[in-house]
Amino acid sequence: MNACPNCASEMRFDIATQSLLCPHCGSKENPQTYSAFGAFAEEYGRDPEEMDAILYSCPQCGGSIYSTESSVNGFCSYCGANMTLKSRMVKMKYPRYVAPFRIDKEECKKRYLAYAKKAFFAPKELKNPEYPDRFRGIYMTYWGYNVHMEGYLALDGKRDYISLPYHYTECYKCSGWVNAEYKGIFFDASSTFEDHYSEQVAPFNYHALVKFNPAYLSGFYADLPDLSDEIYEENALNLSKDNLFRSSQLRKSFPGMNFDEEQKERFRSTMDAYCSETYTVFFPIWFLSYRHKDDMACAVVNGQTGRIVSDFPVSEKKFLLFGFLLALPLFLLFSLLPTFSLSALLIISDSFAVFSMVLLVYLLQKVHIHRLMLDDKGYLSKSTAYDYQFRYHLNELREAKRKKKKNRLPLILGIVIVLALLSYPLQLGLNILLILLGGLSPLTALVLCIILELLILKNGGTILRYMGKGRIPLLMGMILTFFSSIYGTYLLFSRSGYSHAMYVVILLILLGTVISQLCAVGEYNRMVCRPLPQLMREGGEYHD
Amino acid sequence: MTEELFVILSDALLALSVAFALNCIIILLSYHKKKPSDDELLSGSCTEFEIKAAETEPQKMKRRFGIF
Repeated sequence: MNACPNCASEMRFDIATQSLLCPHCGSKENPQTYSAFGAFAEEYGRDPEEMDAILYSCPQCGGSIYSTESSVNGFCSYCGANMTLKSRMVKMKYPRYVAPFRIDKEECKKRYLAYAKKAFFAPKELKNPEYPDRFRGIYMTYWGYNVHMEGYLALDGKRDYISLPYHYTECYKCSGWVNAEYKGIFFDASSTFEDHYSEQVAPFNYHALVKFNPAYLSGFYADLPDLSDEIYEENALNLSKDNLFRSSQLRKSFPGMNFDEEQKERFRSTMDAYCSETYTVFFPIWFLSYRHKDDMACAVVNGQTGRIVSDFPVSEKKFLLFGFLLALPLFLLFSLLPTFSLSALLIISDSFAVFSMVLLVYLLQKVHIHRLMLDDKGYLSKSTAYDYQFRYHLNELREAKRKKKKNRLPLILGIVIVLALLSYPLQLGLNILLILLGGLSPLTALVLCIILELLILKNGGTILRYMGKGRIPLLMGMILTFFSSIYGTYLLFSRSGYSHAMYVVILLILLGTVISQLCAVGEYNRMVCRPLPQLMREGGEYHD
Repeated sequence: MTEELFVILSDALLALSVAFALNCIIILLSYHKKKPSDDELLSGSCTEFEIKAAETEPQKMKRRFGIF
């Protein structure tokens, strides 16, 4: 407790004045020189790097935060559960530096509400002015790296110029001696704080760091490190090397010289760099978590700069309402236009089916990565159980990327064929008009249908790979679209398309497409939200 | 009569499909998050560096026809 020297009331860190303020007598103390704890520690011979704190842990998810306060509001910052947190006195090892809060809660709330206002499809309750009251000021622990780089630089540079009718490329060997010092490269040191939040809420200012004093913690909470400093060491080294490679100073030293990506890799591998110092830092974060059905999402505000990162799920009600409102004028417009020919309508329906599937593939891949936390190095390093999965899926993703590159040729060929077919009677623009108006030649329609069919098949296969539990409507929509479009193409091929059967097929494809689009909303919500955390700490549901 | 009903239904579903597709596009565009670039990440750091004795030594020259 930070007792006031005048009246012995508990003093709190005041953001506006950057001092310890007594709420009763109004006296102020400089938190840097405030020595209640220091004197206490010296007197009793305790480790001056440790302090007494209360550890609050959530009985539901196992998430824990430290505080010097003896009363904490009954909700968990990590999973958003409203319940009494378990508390016990512990010894807390404190960091070397702290960046004090600069943005107060009111300012944070204002920024959040302004940000939430822009999220049109966000649920109403998240825009409620009272909702951001649940923001908690938490000091998140980061590892700070100071990188020293010194060594001989050798790069192959190129200089290009044109002297008509020739293009000249001059090659040079560029060399020099590099001496560089980077201070304050930060990575979050807590596995509970997701990398994508800590990266997006950055940067933090190295120059704002002050030596830690427990007085800064008063009125706030802290999350302690559970990751080793070795985890992000390579990232820090690469970040500084890449920065130097892109720097204007390097360009100035070798004027007019261009260095390609190969040289960047060469620079990375040959330049000597090491972390001269690593240290822990408390950075200020305003943290808000909210529940969305069985998942949760977060809003994070940088307590130094006010930069905000928030994941807003989409309200299904709003999506449907806005969709119907938008559909109404579109329906009137379509009614006024000349009726589409059946073949044109089939192609349009198939195109929308392809669009929905591409969208679903994108979302499902993202959901897959987010749910397994494959994009969180810190979390994965703590979770050895995921190691195998991580490597397996990483290879899978790389493989998919490679295949994607290889698959470009057939796609380009397909586009060329389509363009050629489309442009044979008239120019391309005129033909698109003809498609809409129904004057599509049967051969062109058939070729387009087959191409769209192949795309549906390809994307459908990818969707099936990610199909998991609770995705029955998605499967239904896909089956409906797939078989209907195949039958539609068959009807077109057999030239018996101008019948009621063709209309039924088109309606089914469109119905399947609408179902897929609605499922896409659910997948989007899965992408921006997380399952309730199981933090593998004492108290976690799965890890007692 | 049945044909007219089919036309109305297909127009309605098509309109709905287009509207939902537009909604999805709006949502995805708003999701696109700006991750700070590497240089931005280091903007809060303290950086000092120098390159001494920088030299460039010509090696070879390529010439090809055309401006690209």
